[in-house]
Amino acid sequence: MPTLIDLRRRIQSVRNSQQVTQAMKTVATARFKKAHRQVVERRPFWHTFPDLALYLSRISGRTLHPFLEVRPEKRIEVIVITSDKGLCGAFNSNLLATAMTFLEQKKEKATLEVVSIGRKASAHFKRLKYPVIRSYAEGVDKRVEEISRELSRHLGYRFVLKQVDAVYVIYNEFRSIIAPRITVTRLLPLAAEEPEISAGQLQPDWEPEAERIIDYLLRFYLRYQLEHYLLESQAAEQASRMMAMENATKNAEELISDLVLLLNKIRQASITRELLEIQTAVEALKQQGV
Amino acid sequence: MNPDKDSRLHLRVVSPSRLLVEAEVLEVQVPGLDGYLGIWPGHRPLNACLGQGQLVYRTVLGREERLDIKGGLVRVADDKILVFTGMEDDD
Repeated sequence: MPTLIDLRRRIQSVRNSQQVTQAMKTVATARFKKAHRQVVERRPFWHTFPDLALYLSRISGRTLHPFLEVRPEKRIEVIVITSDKGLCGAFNSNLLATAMTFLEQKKEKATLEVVSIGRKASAHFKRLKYPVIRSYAEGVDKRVEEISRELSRHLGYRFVLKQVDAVYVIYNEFRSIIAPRITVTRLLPLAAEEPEISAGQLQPDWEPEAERIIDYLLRFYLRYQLEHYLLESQAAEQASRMMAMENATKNAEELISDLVLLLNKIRQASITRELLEIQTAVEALKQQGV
Repeated sequence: MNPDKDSRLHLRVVSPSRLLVEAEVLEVQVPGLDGYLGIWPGHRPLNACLGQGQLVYRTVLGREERLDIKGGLVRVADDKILVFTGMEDDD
């Protein structure tokens, strides 16, 4: 049986933790709102841009741009996006588990290289045998534009120079506050799975010629898509943290109420015991006839 | 020039930071590379790069709206107009 003073200390410490989780939840909520707004505003662009690029490449009928060239996947670059900070539930661990499964699947047929984004991914891949060619681990959330620019240049060159045959991205996509959706997607080559559009349709005019339009369009493809993945991951991270901290606050509340109940029981027991002792003493004195 | 009064164009202007316009319109003028292009319902499919200038469109209420754009791309197909603009060049 714990003593009263121990219990009181314990309750106070749980209460302190609860205050911390509560504050973290508030911060995460504010950040989430910002990230969410950004994601919602930018989605129309992100979602229509690759579609348009694909559509244009299909109607032109030929491989007009190096990004559209499909080669056997012998060398693959995998970009893994996690968060810098923890305390966001299973956000990072689930993602890394998916990433590992993906890498294990691909490693038999291809040479793999990893680009890790976020401190959690960097720490994870440090211990493993996969070569990490680039790693961004500090302040990723504040350097989205810089990272996506730099990485898009790097990936673009490597793909065009045939140093890699495919680029995959594994990230948490923001779907709802309850849970993010882990998404594995191919960034390069950009190629359609559907058949080409039949020649019977009205052929569009190109102004200037198709090569130049596709070239113009694809110049932006990598950069804005990478920005997309990074921002989606951030929105999902904040949402996960919000949920995790809300659960922690709730659990602390439950723990406190259990402990308070226990505290009251013990206190009551000790009062009863003391009363009994007094009563016994009184009875004893009575019998002695004092 | 426009025989069917009910025909409309669906205009969507998208920039990396947000959706700028989504509207049913009667006509659109976009700044092409060599001057303005007028687009009416029933236009042939077209893919074109844009220059710098004003995108002008007339809404179904007859009001004229203007939007400054600097480069981009327009795609016209089945009376749907999709405009991408505001992408920043790396180089």
